[in-house]
Amino acid sequence: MATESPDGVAMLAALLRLVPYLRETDVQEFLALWKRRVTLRRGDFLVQAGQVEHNLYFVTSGLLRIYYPTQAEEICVGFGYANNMLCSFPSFVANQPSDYCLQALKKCDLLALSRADFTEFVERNAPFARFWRQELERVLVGRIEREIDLLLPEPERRLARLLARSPHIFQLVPKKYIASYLRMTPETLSRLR
Amino acid sequence: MLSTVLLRQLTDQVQELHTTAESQLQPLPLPVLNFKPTPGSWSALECLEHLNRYSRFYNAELTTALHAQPQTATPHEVGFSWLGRKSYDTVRPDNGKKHRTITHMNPAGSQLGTEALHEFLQHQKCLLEMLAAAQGTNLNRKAVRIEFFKLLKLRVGEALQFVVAHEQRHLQQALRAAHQATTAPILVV
Repeated sequence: MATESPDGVAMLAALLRLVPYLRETDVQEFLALWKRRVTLRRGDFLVQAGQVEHNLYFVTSGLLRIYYPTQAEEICVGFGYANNMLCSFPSFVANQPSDYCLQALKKCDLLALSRADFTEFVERNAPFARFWRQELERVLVGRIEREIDLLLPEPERRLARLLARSPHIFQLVPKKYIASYLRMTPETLSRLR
Repeated sequence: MLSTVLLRQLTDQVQELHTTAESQLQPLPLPVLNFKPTPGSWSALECLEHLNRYSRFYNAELTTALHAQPQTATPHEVGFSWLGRKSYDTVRPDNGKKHRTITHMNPAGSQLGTEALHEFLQHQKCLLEMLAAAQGTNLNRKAVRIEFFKLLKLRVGEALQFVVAHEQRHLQQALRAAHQATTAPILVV
């Protein structure tokens, strides 16, 4: 059955209109910068380790994982799904090769915005700069929470905290990736669930 | 369950549906109420519109069913038919299984404003009046046609339970959608 691919620009617009202080002109101006559409098949990479990240992406549909590749395993550090903006962040801000891989776990539709356009826009649009700062604060708080998760020795407490914080993850992401994200084996996760 | 107990319980549940929608959804701005957590899922207003479409049918059916019989029943045990049990189990909010919606009951993509919310509240008031008037009704009488197959009928009592459980189910979904609109992180790093 053919499903029509959702309109990413409309989704992004709906998302930005949730932010009370962004004016319609700010939203329209920002939307115009998302010039490129990217489609990934399952297993495709959005960013490979070693590549420099030049784009910020908006996920229209699908699911991606962000992982840190090591000899022994691929350590999941995050997931992106519909209505998320994502990028290999350290690479994006520092213009350095990425240590992380971004891989599609399902067929994905994304929109892309170049770093140059993004930076230029955030620097001249004050309401948007405020929005971006708030998102960064939210991410930072999330990362602090996550650091606590990882410092807890008991897998069940790590799981309980994730369940409380992001219950929807369990509907979206296959268990083996959640297990990796929680630093436990899939067997331990399935025993605890 | 005894008819009087059931009516009391349903009244409390509908009252709660009304209170919840009024206190938790009504104050929210329109973009939040229209926000779809994923492209394939419903916004809070779409959830309510879905319920409204059912209410338009079932409230009318229930009104007819309640008026068509003499109000002489005394408190009696209310049971389920096979069909009633099946319908009720399908829509109960604690049943996590997803179901496909019939096209004409699927509001996805329709332009919705706060009138969908007002209509929902109106339907709840209507239900409350019906429940108050149903004290003398025999709740085991088969008198309510099923929306998608009108040759089949539900008992009055099980139809009421079906309608209320279905509303609880999608009101929860509406609250989740609105909650995600206000709390979901946008940026992932």
